[in-house]
Amino acid sequence: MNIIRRLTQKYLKNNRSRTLVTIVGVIISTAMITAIPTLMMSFFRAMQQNAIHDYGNWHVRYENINLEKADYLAKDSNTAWVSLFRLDGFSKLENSRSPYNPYLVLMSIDKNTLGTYGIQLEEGRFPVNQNEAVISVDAYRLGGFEGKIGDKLTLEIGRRFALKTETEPEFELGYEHNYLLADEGKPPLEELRPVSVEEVTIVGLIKRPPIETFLMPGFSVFRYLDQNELAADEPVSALVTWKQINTAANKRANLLGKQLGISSKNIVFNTNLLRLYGILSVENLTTIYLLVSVLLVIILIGSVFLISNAFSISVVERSRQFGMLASVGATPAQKKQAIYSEAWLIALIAIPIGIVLGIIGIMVTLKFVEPLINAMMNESRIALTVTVTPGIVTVSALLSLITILLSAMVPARRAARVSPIEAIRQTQDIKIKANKIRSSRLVRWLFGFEGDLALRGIKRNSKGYVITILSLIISIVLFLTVFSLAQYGFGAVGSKVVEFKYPVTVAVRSDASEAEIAEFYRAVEAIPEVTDSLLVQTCYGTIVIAQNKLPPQWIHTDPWAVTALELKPGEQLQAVRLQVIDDIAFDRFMRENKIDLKYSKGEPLPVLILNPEIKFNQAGKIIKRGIIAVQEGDQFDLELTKWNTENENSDRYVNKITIAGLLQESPIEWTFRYDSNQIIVLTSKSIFSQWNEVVNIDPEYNWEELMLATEQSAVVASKTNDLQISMGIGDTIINDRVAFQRAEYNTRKVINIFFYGFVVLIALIGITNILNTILTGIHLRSREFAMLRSVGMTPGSFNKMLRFESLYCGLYALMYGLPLGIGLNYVFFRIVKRSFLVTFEPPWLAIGIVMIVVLIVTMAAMQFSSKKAKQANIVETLRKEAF
Amino acid sequence: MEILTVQNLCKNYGSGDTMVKALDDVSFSVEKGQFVAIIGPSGSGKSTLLHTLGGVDTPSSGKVFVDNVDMFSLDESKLAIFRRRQIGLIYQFYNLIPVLNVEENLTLPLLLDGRKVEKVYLDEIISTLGLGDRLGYLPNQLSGGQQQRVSIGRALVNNPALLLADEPTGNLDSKNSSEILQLLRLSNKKFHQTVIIVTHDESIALQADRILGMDDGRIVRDEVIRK
Repeated sequence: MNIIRRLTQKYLKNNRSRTLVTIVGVIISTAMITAIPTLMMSFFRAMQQNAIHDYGNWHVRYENINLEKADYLAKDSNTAWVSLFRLDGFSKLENSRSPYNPYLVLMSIDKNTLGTYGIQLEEGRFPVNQNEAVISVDAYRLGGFEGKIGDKLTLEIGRRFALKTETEPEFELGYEHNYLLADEGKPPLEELRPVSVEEVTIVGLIKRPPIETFLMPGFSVFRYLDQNELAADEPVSALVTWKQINTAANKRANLLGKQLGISSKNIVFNTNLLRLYGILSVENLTTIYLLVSVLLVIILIGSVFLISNAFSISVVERSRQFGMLASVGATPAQKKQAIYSEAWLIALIAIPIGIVLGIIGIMVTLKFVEPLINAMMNESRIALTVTVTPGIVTVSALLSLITILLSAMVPARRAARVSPIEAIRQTQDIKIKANKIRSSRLVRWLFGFEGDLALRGIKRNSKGYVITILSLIISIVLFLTVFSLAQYGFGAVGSKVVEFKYPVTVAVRSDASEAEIAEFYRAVEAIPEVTDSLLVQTCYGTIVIAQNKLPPQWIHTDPWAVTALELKPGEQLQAVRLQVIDDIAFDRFMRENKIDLKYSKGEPLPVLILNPEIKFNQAGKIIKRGIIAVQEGDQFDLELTKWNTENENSDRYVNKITIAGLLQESPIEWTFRYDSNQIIVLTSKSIFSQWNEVVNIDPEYNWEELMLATEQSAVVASKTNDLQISMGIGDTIINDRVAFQRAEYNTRKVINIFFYGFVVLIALIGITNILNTILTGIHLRSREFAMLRSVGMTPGSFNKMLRFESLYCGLYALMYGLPLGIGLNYVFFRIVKRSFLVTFEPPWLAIGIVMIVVLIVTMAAMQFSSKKAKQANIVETLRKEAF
Repeated sequence: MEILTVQNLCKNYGSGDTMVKALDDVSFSVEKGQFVAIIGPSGSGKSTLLHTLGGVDTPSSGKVFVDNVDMFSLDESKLAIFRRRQIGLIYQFYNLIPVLNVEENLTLPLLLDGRKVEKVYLDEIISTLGLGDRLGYLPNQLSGGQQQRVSIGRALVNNPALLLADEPTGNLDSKNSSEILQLLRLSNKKFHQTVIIVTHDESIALQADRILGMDDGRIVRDEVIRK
């Protein structure tokens, strides 16, 4: 072995504690460098699993090919497996309760397809021949299908065609095209043309398969596709699942298509899955990549500073050794090599440990996080397993190695410059400018002679302090940026669960009749766990209002608006959400709020207006008032519209409304924050219908929702679901807001765990860095200290001097570090703003933490090292010959 | 044959009013195999001169030829290589590397040069220095005299053109001092080395072939006392 390397090894062995600190530093940074892409890949993997669940585990689909071509595809070296799939056609589902799902969609699949599409049996068995089929459970739940397992159905199977219109010719529709529902009284837009009549026996029920998206115009029925019974020219689709998923595979897939003469429109990629591998469109991933890169850069910079410090110390400690080596003829390159071989040795030990620890760290984190994530995803269980690819390990190792070598670069150059004579005299590390220094009277007054001495020292030997202050600044900035990441990445540091009075909402979307819906509502309200209910019908209207009555952010002009209302200058059209509440709830609400709302026929419609107080800045003054500057008794013209199917236009009705009361809060709770630019007005069902008898509009409700009060939201939601199925109501949105909120809360908690964990790690790195720098600084000055003590500086004075120094360094670093950190915080805000709704806010909490921690750590470090300096033997240190 | 030629060597510290001339136009030459002692009071410039001859300090002006090579025309790397092959340095405080044992310290210049150790020559040095039973020891397990012997051995191991010693006995008692001096004399004879030694002790200087006296950065005396 080379003598330089052997010397380095011996040095490292003899300075075990220092070596250990360096190794721990490298391990921490390597672990973080590994953890971040591993975490990213693991999340991508989870997202891929999710996409596979939703869209199927295939990568490319070749449509309209024959069996021979499918075989050729199956034999390709990058093909893992091929699933055969054939759309057989559509069959009318008589009396479908779901207006957009009028068909049974017949498809044939082979065994592979079951896995590819994740088709799961709920009851019965899978088909084994062309005459057997399984059917989606939603045909029963939503479509009102009544067949049972074992039933033999005779189906008229056909093809869908979109009928010719003035602008477009006729064309055929597939299963991924939604049903073209015609308006009432209008001619149909699509037609089913029968091709054959076939008999099918239902042998099983399957969970709604992912292929059955909301666009599919019906419910899936899968038959068995037997290759042996397939005619040579019969067209099928082949779903190919690749072995290697990368851009090359993508190209190869196109090439294979070309070889087989498949036209490019018949080659369909599973884009939703492939984009998660960074193939095809990657736009959505850019924000993630950007954040990960910024994080990595921050870690790299922080690590370089930290590790570089360790090597600097080593250079100082070994400078005599280097000088001696130089005097017996070591070249600058050999001195450099001494530091680099130290770097390599440390890398060799620390990088593998760091990578393993990083992976284990993520493993443990994911273990904790998995149940939380699964708690918020009711249906699909996502397995959060650590994904380690050779790529990640290689990249992490390389990045860490680069970090270490970069860290060693400057110290190595310093080592190369150590000349024998300098080392022999040991004068290199204290270079003092002899210029005149002005010291501040204030300092002298506040901190006495010792403060004065420290300040002179600082100013004379500014280079040494620059390093200390720089590393302090780096730590501050690191901490603030990472904190910002947590802040913007996932908001709400302390979000809490809101208590809903009406946790379950029910909205019917199917074409069930009014009487059916009313009966359904009665049944739902009769569920024992339901304690109270509130029916809200909402329709949208427009009023004209003076712009000065609106908050500034609502003011707009809309020159193209179609309206029957008259606009004068300074006025604008304003959207109004009119919410009609059932009488029982409304009366109770009035009683509770001591409002008396009376109505006699022919009067304008009395409404309560939701008008909470807001603050805003107008012409430099903070104004506090209701959102809309109105009073009780104010009247407005309200325009309501109703669609006229005959002339295909909206009929407009304008009628007067009176503001009968102002409300701070609405009896209706919104799941989301009230922030739309809409005036919200409320009235009761009976008042509205009495009014309507006179004005005779009977406006369309845009939305109708039954809100249910309960202690057991999950039970009520599931019983409502049962009722909806048993009563055959069809498509209904049942929203358990408690569960939704809990899920959201869990997500935030999970992500906060990640980010705050990371913040803590960064804080630790920062503190290590500060400690290391200060300790080095003091170590370098041990001769100076010994000298001061030898001329009789008392321990008290000594401490005073150091206290002043640490205060000076700490404040100086904060002065530069805080603005820089806040600036970077803003940069993060800009990045995150690309994809998420966030508002900029300086991280006050983090700033507070940083200020306290920096001052404490600098003080503690100084105190610790001064203690060490005091223990040292003065003469020994002064001579510094014991080498 | 002249092994060392020094021409108009100057070394200044500081500038203007505060300039100190450590070496002031020093010129001399040394024959191969000569044992030279440089003597002078503290601050006379003798150590600066020795360090400059050894190539570890650089002159402000002037030239040094060792074995006809202009030392300061070499770049830093070449100078380092030249130094490890042509010059052996011995310090007052030995400057051994504490983590290397005696044998490793002895052979350090060879190891740095990536060369094989010539066993016969090394054994001869070791036996001459009387370190045969101490080869595996670390420097702090040796006495001062023994440590200085190791550093002499290290200086000799490359068979350099020039052996420079800076107060080699400054840190030793009289018994050890005379031992070290005898060793230097011995190597001067046995290996036909050119030796230059800096001292402030007249009695040590008197054992040399030639004495150079220095004061205020100049050579004030140059006498050959032995041929």
